[in-house]
Amino acid sequence: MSAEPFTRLQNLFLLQRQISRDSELTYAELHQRDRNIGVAAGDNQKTDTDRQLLHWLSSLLTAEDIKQAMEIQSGHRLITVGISLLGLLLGWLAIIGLFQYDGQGRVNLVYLLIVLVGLQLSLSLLTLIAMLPQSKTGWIPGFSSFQQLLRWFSPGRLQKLFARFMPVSERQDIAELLGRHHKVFADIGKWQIFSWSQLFGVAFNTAALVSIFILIATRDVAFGWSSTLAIDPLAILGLTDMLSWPWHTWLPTAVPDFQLVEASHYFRLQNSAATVEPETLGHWWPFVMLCLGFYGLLPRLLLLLFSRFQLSSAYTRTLHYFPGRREVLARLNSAVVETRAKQHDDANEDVVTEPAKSESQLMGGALNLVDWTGLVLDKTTLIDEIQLVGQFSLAKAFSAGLKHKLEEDEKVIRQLGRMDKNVPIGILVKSWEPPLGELADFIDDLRQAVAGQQIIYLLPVAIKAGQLLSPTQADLDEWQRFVQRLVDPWVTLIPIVPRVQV
Amino acid sequence: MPRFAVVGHPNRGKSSIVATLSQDDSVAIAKFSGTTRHRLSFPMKVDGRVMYELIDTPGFQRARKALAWMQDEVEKVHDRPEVVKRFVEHWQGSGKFVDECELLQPIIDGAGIIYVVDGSRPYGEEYEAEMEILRWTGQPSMALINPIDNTEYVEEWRAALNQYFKITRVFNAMTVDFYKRTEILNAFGQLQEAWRRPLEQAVNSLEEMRKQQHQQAAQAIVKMVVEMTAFALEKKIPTDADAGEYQPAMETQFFNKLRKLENRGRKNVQEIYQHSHLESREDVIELLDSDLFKLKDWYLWGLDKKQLAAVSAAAGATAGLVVDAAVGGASLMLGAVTGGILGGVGSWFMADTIARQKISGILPLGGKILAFGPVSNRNFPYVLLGRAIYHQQMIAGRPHAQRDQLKLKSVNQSDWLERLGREQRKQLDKLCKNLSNQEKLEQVQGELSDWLFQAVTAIEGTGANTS
Repeated sequence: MSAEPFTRLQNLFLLQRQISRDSELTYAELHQRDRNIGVAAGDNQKTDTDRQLLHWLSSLLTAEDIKQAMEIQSGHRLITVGISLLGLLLGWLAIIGLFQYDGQGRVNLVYLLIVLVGLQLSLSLLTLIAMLPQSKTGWIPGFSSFQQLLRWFSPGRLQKLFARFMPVSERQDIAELLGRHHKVFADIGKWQIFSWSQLFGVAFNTAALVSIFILIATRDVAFGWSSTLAIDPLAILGLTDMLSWPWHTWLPTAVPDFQLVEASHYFRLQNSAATVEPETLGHWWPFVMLCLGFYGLLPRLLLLLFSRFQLSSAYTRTLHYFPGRREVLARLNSAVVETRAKQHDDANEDVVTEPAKSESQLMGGALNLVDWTGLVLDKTTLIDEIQLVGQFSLAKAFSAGLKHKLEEDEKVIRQLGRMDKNVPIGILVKSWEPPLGELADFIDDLRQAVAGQQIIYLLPVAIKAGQLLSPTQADLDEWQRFVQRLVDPWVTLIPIVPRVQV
Repeated sequence: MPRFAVVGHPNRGKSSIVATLSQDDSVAIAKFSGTTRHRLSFPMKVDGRVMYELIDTPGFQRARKALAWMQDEVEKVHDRPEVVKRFVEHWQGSGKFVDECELLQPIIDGAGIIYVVDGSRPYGEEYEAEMEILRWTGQPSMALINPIDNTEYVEEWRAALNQYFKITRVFNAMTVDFYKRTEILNAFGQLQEAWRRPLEQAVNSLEEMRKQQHQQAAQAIVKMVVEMTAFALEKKIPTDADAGEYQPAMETQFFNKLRKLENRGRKNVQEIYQHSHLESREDVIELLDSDLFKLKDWYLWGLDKKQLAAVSAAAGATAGLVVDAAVGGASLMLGAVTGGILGGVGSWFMADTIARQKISGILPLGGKILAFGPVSNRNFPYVLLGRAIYHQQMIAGRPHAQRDQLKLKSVNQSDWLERLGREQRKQLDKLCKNLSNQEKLEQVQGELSDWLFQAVTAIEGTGANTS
């Protein structure tokens, strides 16, 4: 599917639709999708970013998008055709009205010039004023209000009338595109309205010209001028000379001379036919048609070309600055870098049902001690302090774990198995090291060797530079969790906490 | 393809290191040991092509026992790697040495070893068995000292690790910046000659990705700032209604919407830097202007009083002009002038009467508009940008191992503005002025994004981010 056959309006509409749809996807999804499109298109598109963007758009279009885009285009065409037809109709009606001629009087040139030249020129001038950029005229007080006002009267606004014939959804889409909801499209909206206005003007003038020509060809039209004020024919001649200046060299027959002006002056109570040749009075028509062509049609044509040009640059600009465009291009042209895992291990944290007690409890009586820290047994002061804190008396001490051979651990277990079942066993561990499977195995093996209900105390101790410290609560919680997972009701955690905190 | 197994004692920050290096904030990091039960692969891919792979593993649980088994099996020193392999083959699936099998498997498959210890806890004899096993594998290895709480035992560790590993580095997964991360990846590449090139390419891609992230963040921030500076609420109410009644509700609505826009912007930036799970807390924004509430009148199809007067003046003038033209200018354009004045002045005084009229008693011809915002204070864009840049820096500099809530302090405007160069400041001033005036928004959006991209890149380069 290619975006090429679409008009620029359709492309912008589709672009907006796609970008707003994309806001529902995550960046990673978008990047992956767009990068695939970018890689498939190859590097040759990178220099022409507009083409790249449109290629991207066409790769993502759905059937529904295309249907909508077609509807937008037919709506746009409906408005353009409607405005042109209305211009043609009004142009024709205007000429019918102005040339209302009953065969008795004459077509008053004063009216013709006011409407076909004066009014038309003023309207073209006002259009030009309305087109002036606000950045250049903003300093004039009230100027922008005046411009807005002029735009309010623009025939391009008739689009609303024709838009009524479109389904509501399309109307909303077009309205959104043309700047009612979106600042970016404001320029397109402005120049589209101007374009339509000028199209209306061109249609009006074309119809007027054709109608005059038909009237002249099919009827005998007598032109004349008349005014209650006593106007000198020379003044009228001055005006006609001025108006016919553009063509006086190459079409001198279309420049009224003094005789014609004077001969066409008529008075209400005078019977003109009696004084002037009727043929002479018809000689005005080349002048009238050229006036309409030069002062009505030509400015409108120029303004139409100008607004079409502006509309075209507004489209280019809008596409260039389209919100989201940079992001799309960046996604198309940058490699997708993934660093994350596709799946994760669920954090399997057991809940500590009972927080570890952070104070030493009195054990009382004798205790067989296993040193699993490698830091205590050779230091009598530490052993004394630990006995004092735990309120127990050391029956026998062993060393196991860490660097000891497995056979040595087994020997310790065998020895403990042979000892008095009523004397509890204490295992001294480093509170700051996490409990390992090796210790769990040791406790399991020990339980096999000793009586089923013999108490085993797990005694986390914190030692720094040969001094006893208080184990941290976080470390104790870790040990409490370990005890919990042993599922042995006769294993208890008792932290060794010095009486005097260091 | 280079692969690296991150191994070590349980709960020594292996997952933190993996989370930071893979920029993955969904890696499970828990306070208890043994959180990682299975090895997890974090392949670094560029357009689908794997450049290297990090493997997070469970910690050693029975290193001493495993080593004892291996020692029993080995006959000659050069058999050691083979024995480790046999160990895994022998015990895998048996229910014993589960963690050891899980962590040794990638190493015997050829992965490099990244051995992680905690520099805030003292060295102990119990680590020797696991280091010995790793040495037995014969794979290229490197030790990382991760000082989780402090650096008290870093030197003690360094001395111990130097006996087992050729390269030892300190790497704090909670505080490292982007450049330290790429540096460590380059160091991984030094472990084996064949790994150097792919790791360099990977680092280049990561740097390119970083640039893109900054660019996207700049665009997201500017989009948010433009939306916030332009945001306004309007409500039409009948002429005789009391405007004051609507004010508090509108104010709340306005403020909430601004906060929503800002939060959405923050969320976007967080997602760009792959911090999608992050929760943050920030002081609410100040609006700077106290009188954002405006009451305007509207007449006839949405024209305001000035426009209505201008319409009427123009209509009057046109009518007058026709008279002037009809008399061939003999009236000296008095017709147009008089018509214009009459129309304009008349409608100015009649406006309120018009407003009260209704066509056929249904369609109102006028009324009041309550408007709230936009915040037109010149400083508003600076405030928004200052807050957003600060947030972006905190996010961009935040390692993915951090799991605490992000608390953002309020930003002192002069601090960040003073750090800008003269040219940079001048350009910003111009763009902010355009923003306040709502001029050339499309261009401003592009230029401000470029400006911001340069600014955030420069701030990161100077390392002034988290200060």
